[in-house]
Amino acid sequence: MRYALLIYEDEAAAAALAPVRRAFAAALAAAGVLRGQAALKSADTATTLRRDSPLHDGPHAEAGEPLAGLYLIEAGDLDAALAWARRLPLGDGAVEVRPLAEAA
Amino acid sequence: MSPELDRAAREAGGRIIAALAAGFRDLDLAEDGFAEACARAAATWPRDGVPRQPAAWLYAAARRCALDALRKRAVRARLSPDAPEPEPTVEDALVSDERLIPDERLRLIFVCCHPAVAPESRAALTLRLVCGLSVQEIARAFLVSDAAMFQRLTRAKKKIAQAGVAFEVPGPEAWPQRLSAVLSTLEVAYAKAHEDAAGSGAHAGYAREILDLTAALAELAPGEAECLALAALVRYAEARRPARLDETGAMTPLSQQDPALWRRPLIEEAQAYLRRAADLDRPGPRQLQAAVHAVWCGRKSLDEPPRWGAVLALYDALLVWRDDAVARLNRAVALAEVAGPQAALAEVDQLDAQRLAAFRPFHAVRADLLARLSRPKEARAACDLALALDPAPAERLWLERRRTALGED
Repeated sequence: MRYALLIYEDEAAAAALAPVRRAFAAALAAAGVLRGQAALKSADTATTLRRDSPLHDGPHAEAGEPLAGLYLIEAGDLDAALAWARRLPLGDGAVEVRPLAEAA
Repeated sequence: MSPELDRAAREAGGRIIAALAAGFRDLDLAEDGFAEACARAAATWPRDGVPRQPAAWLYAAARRCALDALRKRAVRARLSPDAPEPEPTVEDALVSDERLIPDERLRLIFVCCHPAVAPESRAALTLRLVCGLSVQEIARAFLVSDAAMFQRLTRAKKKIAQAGVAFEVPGPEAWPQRLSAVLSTLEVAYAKAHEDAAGSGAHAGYAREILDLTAALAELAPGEAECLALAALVRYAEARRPARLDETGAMTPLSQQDPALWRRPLIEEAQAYLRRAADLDRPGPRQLQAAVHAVWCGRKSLDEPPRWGAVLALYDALLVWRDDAVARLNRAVALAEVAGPQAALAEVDQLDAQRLAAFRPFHAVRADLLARLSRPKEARAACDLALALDPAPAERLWLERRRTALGED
């Protein structure tokens, strides 16, 4: 199965953790489980579209820590995905582990 | 439902659902297959007679129903052409012996108690899938509506299916987290079974499941002291079941139960588990709770004075691990016997009364202490509060009797 590790954290944490994250991504790649990754610029660079509304200058959810980046990984089951998520360097933020919707 | 079917479904339902769930790795398929098999049994047994091995019949039928549903699902998804109805296989013939139903309950309980499943759903899911209780029974035990419980279970099953929770017993490296979730869930499940003092009918069977499961866990993890302690704990508590009701059907408090009615073989099993736990020299809250039970179950007759001092000391130790209202209230009951009701009431009144407003034992213990302090008016009020919280019939009778003994305003 493929899982997304969605990282929610503020900009300062994302910047501080960028170097160790590269090592994490290298570990994912070395294990042959990395399927994709992205680090996002800060949430105030986001523009949000909603139907029948003017463009919104900012992220979809203003409250809470914004989505800051993600990894796509291949894992046998939820426990394996959670094990990788635990190794992800993290400050005060959170990482959400979600399975990708794909044909079984 | 015929009594034979009812009994077979109760006694073997958990094992059958677990075996199917582990085989097909699909909780819904297992549950639906078993329900369909029961429906077929209800239709055919009265006509053809009850099979010689009702549980084995149900397992074979449930398996065929599940296979059939899988086939239909595949056809709907156009993944494969329509296959013929599977003929009864050699394997089906073999399971004419119910001992051949594989016991996958342990595997299933680790699935139901996965830490990724919400804690309030784990016990409910375990009771449904491993112990075979109906949604209505579980809803009653957790004081929620049938619809709310159905939703909670559906959500949990969906999470397990879609998030990719493995249908495996985890390896020892994952035990600290996984085993603790399983033990807590079994504690909640057993507490629900135990609450109904009568334990007659519906719940008697599932207390049996919990005895089986704790034994299986203890076998799986013989080096985990808390796991052994839980096996001891439920055995001590179950051993006293025959003494928990008096001849009128009212609850009998532990200190007034006749030890001659307790089931000695279960107590001996419990002692063996607790000794093994103690030998591991890794104390924990479940060992202390089991030790309290052990003190009580060591009583030989009603003439022997209860060892309240030992009970109090154990609760003091338990508070270090688990400082909650239940432990505090149990400690107060012992304290009342050792230091008098005044001291005990002072402790109880330090608890957060507002948070415990809907907790029956809080009011019941207060009623008892107030009565002993000759404050009947307040005792009556506390008794009424407990009675208003919908106690099980046996506890209601007991509370009503105490209420009557306190006289009127």
